[in-house]
Parts: sequence; structure tokens; C-alpha cells
Amino acid sequence: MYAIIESGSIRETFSSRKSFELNGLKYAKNVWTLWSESDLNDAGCFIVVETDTNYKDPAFYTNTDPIYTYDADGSTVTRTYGTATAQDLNTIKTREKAIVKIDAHNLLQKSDWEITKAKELDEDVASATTTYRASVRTKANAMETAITNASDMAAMLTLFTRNGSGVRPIGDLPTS
Amino acid sequence: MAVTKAFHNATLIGLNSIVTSSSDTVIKPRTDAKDIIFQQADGTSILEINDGAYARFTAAAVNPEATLTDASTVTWNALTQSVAKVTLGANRTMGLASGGVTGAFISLLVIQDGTGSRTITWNAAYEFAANTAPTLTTTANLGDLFVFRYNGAKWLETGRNLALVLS
Repeated sequence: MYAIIESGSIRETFSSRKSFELNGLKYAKNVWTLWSESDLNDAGCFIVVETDTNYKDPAFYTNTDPIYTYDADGSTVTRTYGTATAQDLNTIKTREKAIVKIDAHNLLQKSDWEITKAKELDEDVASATTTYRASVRTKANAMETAITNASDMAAMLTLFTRNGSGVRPIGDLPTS
Repeated sequence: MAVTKAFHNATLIGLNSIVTSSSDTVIKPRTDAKDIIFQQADGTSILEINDGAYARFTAAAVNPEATLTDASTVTWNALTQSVAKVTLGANRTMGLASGGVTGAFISLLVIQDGTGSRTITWNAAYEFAANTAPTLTTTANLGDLFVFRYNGAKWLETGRNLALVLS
């Protein structure tokens, strides 16, 4: 994020570097990359310090509008958020369980033809297929149970938050 | 006495008069519907003040290229430096071109120095397409050429040619 300071106040903020006019001068877009930060600040141009500790996953919370603050002494413009409000827990649980069902359905659908063929021709289904389909159902059930058991939105958020390795407590449906 | 002599000489060379009007000097042809033509000694016409109320340059009218002084704020005189160039030694501000006359054209060749990546911040009187200040070529020693037309308030960009090798 970027901010323009005019007469000691934030005139505008924007997310992409752009050209702008300030105090009777027209600046090209590439000043944001070519100028030193101190030169930018002297001209009234600031790269916003994004302090987003209150910002939470909008799938589970309603965030406040960002709050931009200019500190003339520290020559900084910071972005903060107010306290996020949790969405309705039951609504979110219903939604997330529905998503699990849809995802499981889509995974099972890929091998449905094998089940149909075996049924029509009175053949055995490959054991690998049977095992995989069972694992999808088992995992989907476990995920729905975990969602049901989440005591509050913080617990829900924890379930779905991936760590540095991309793993999340609720896990993922098997893909093979 | 001087005016009398000037009038006499004017008559000799076919001019109606060289007179003063509100302190200006006015030159007119002796006969109506005739042109005033400036020629070289060999008779080659250079400039014709046509009776049709226009001037025709039968040879090129050249505005010598002026070199603007590279400074924190680059100053530019549109009357005496209508064709100008500047080599940027750092990030600069282009000051308002002084002496603007409505309808005047001026051009500026902006050259990157051996370091390159120099920027120009333009006075707000320069107006560009979509009101967006141009991004100069950043390559060292290349040039960007701009042409402006004055409308009485702003220098309107009429064209640009970027990344010129120049040599």
C-alpha cells in the first residue's frame, strides 16, 4: 500500500504504484521504485507499514475497514484494523460441512464409473478403488465431526489455518 | 533625421515605408498585393512575407538547440530555448517553462546520464495524456523526446518518443 500526504494529512492511499500530482508537481509511477524511501517521504509519498494483527480470515470474520494513520514525527503511515467480528458460528459450520461434502463428492465421482461398470457386469471393484473411496468417506466424516465440535470461531479458524508446511489441523481429503 | 533617412532608403528598395507605430517598427511593401521577400545575394529566397497574410520559409526555420542547465529544478525559457535538451545527473524537477505564448511549440530532449534511472517530476503546468506523468526511459545515455503546445495556461504534450539511442 502507498499513501500521499498533503498538508500534514493523508490525502489518498492506493494499492498499486501509480503516477500522481502533489503540491503542484507531477510524479511518474517509477519514483516509487527508483527513489529512496527518505526522498519519497520528503516529497510526501509513503510506503504504508501494514500492521494487520487484528485482520482475520474473512471467511470466518468480518474485518473493520482499514485505518490509516500518519505519524509526522516518525515519518510513517501505518495501516491497522479494528477488532474483527466473528461471523455466526452455526452458519459457518453448516457452510464448511457442505464444502466438505461437495469436495468428497467430487473426489468420489472420478471413480463412480468403476463402480457402475462393476455393478452392470457383475465384476469385482478393484481393491485400491474401494480402499480409496472408503478413505475419502472416513476423512470427510472426521472433518465434519471436527467442524461440529469446534467450540467457537477461534477454534474454527485454528482448524483451517495451515502451518508453514501447508498442513492444517482439520487435514485434507485424500486425493489418491 | 534617422527616420527620414530610413524612409528614403525604404523608398529606394521598394518598400512603402519603414515607420514607427507605438514605438514598433512597421515595414510595408510599396504596392498592395505584393510580398516582401528576403533573399540571399545569389537570389535564393529565404523568407517571404506573403500578401496573403502569412510568412513562408522557403528554407528551414531552425531554432538552435539549447542545452538546459542540469539542476535540482531545471529552468526552461520557452522563448529563447524552444528547442532544448537536458542531461539528467540526478532526479530532477522540471520547472514551469517561462515565456509561454499561446500556440507556441517547444520540445525537450531528456537524456539519462551514464548512471541512468533518473526521474523528472514535472511542474503541474505540463499536461500529459490521461493526466499521467510519463515514465522516463531508465537506461543510461538514452533519451526521451517530448513536444508541448501552449494553450495559454498549460503546456499540452503533443507527442513523445522514448528510448532514443541518440548516436
